[in-house]
Amino acid sequence: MKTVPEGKKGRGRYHWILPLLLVLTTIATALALFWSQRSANLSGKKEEALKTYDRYYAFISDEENSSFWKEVYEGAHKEGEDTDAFVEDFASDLAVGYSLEERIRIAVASGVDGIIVENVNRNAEKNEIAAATEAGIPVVLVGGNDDAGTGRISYVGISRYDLGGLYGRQVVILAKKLLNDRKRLKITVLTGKNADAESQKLLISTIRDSVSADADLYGRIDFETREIDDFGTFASQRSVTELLMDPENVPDILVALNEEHTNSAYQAAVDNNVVGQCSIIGYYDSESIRKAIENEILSATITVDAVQMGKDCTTALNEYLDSGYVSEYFMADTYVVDKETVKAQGGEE
Amino acid sequence: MRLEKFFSDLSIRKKLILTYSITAVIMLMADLFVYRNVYQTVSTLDDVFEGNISLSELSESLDTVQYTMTGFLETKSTDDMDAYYKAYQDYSDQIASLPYEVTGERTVRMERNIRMMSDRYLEVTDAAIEAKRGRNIDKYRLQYENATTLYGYLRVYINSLNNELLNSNSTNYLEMTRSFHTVVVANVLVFVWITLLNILLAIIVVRRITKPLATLAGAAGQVADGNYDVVIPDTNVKDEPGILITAFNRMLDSIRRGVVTEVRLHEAQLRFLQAQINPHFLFNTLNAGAQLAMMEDADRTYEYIQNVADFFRYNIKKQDTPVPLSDEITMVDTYIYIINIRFSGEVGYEKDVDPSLLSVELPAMTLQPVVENAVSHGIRDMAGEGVIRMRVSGEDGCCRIDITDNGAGITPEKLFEIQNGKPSVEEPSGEHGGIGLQNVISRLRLLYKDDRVFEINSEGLGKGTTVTIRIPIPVETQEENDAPDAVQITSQES
Repeated sequence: MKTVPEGKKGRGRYHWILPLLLVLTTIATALALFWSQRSANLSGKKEEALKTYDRYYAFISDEENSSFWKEVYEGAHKEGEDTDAFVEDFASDLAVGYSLEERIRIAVASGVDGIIVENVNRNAEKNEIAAATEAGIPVVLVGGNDDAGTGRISYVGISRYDLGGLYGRQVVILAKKLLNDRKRLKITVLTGKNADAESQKLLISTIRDSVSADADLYGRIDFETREIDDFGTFASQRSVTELLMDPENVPDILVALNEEHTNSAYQAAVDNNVVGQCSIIGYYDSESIRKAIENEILSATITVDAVQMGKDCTTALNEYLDSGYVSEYFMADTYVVDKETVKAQGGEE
Repeated sequence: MRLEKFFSDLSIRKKLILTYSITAVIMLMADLFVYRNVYQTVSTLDDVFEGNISLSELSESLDTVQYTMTGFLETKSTDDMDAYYKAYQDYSDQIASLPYEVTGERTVRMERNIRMMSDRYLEVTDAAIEAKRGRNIDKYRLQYENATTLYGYLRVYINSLNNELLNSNSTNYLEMTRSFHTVVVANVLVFVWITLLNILLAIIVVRRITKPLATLAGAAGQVADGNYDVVIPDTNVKDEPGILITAFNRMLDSIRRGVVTEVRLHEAQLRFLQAQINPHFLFNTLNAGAQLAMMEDADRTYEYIQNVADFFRYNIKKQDTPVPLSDEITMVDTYIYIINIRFSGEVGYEKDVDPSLLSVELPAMTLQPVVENAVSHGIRDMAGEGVIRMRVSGEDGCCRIDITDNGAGITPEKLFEIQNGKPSVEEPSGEHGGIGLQNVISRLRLLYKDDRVFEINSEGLGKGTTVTIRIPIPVETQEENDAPDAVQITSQES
């Protein structure tokens, strides 16, 4: 009996087509949807940005482009994010570049909840801080020296005495090492025209005291300061280069007290081929400074926990607004970064 | 798959409606998707530069406030004061739409700062206006300076925000222009996919619906050509083609069984008819009688019984096969002899036979029952001499046998019944246990499939009856019969 081919064979051959098509179409549609949704508008971005904050703090610094102040700001901003406060690098990139004092005034007019301001020790600044305090806006001073007379609620900074002591210990260690094959050593400390004079004085005297107090170094050290021109582009680098180009005056140990002087010093040392002849102790901890330490251009660097300083600023404002009281001082940790430290931390990474 | 089974079991109408509905819904979804994309893109494009336009207007209003305030401070005219208050109101209305909240979005925070500074600025301008009206020169000078400082900050903020938004919007605009193309491509892709899906869906569904029908049509064509051995595998599907296939298979099965039954019935019917003429018992009995007569020297008795025995022997020998016409005529002769012994020669018998037809074959026991019928119903009870005439002649390729009696005749009604094979016509079998007339008619018609093979005619009661039998002669037999030495046999007995 002849059987007519039909039914299950025919169906079996094609039954997978429909599910396959459905799957393909679903995938294609989902991809198209995702693709177009992703690029159609910025609604997602807007929704994310629309998160609101309870408090609004203005962060104002004269040197916001320096790595140190960037880290301080990041620390303050991060702490703000964690405590529902938005910390803004205030009025720093407007169409007109305003001075630190004008920015304080704008912050007051904008009705911010608190101001974190770098202490540059100018009278105009003091006046604006006083105006802010009068307007009921708490101000936290950061960096430089404390000035309780401004009406600030708290000061976040570095103990110059501790910092000087740290520098002094490093200078002594390095000097003893160098004196193994040299009879006398010349130590030069770079000072800035633009820097806070009191802070510098305190630092230098502490370093000098440390060196003088060590019996092994007695009578074998020539200690001097060299003022560096801080005004204008590459001014400090030129000043340091002039110092290192004079063979008679090239110091055995060069001490830089800020980030800019440190960068200028190690670049000048490389340019003038005095690496090894002149040991440099720098300030601050950046990628380029660490690289210089690794390459033995810098002997060591003294640094502070800038991020912690920033966090302390925001914490101070939060505490004051929450309770009406806050600590007068927040002191940042200082520490030494040398080749061993860099190597150890590089290994950890 | 359960879904596939569900779909397969749906009727064609439901399948088509479901398919069209699914494709329509898919197309609708694609349309909504495209509409949503286009709407979103157009809305976003609309929003792009709206902020810039608002800020330009805000800046103009701010200028107006500063300008009218300065004007009033310079002139102290009522017009300037009215203009100042109007500008103040306009500016207040505009900054009312700016946010108070602090957000992570820089432009929103700038808007918020503009609002806060504007509030402060308007307080200062108001204070300056009041001081001017109070003629407090030192105070309004101080407030004017404060207001001008704030005005400067606000201008810078508004310009900066404007620039920020312009940069951001330009970037957004470029991104959106690019994304618009992306959206178009994505939409086209979706449409192409959806269209392909719909086409393939339609092909699959139509194929599913039509393929069983095509198979069924092919099978039906084969059946129409006489091939009953076709079988379509049962799909177990409950849609119309599935039901048709099941029904078709059942119908074919019935047809096949019907054909077999018909053949078997045919054979059984023949066997049944022939079984009626199996006179074993009488034949054996008569043989014994003939032997007894011979032992007693009763020659006539012996001859009579011998004839009767021949009569039944013929039945036994010939019932399964066709016999020559000569044998049938001999059987009629024997029967007439027996009858005349019984009725003392009352039946006259005449025959006119074309000898060329003696070899024509016909079913056994065809002529004797006809003659017996003529004797029993035609001439037995008539007053005068009853005569039976048998004439055998050729006619149109047939052997025509006419058996005529001059007896009682038949009414037209009865003739009609006999011709149409009504059972009431069937007479009991002959006294000798032979075959009835109806038996003969049935056998002849069944064998030759022609009603004209047996005809019976009578002009009415008392006018005798003629039975005409037409046996078709095979072609080869006709050629033999056309030989020139054929002799006509005519005899008359009483």
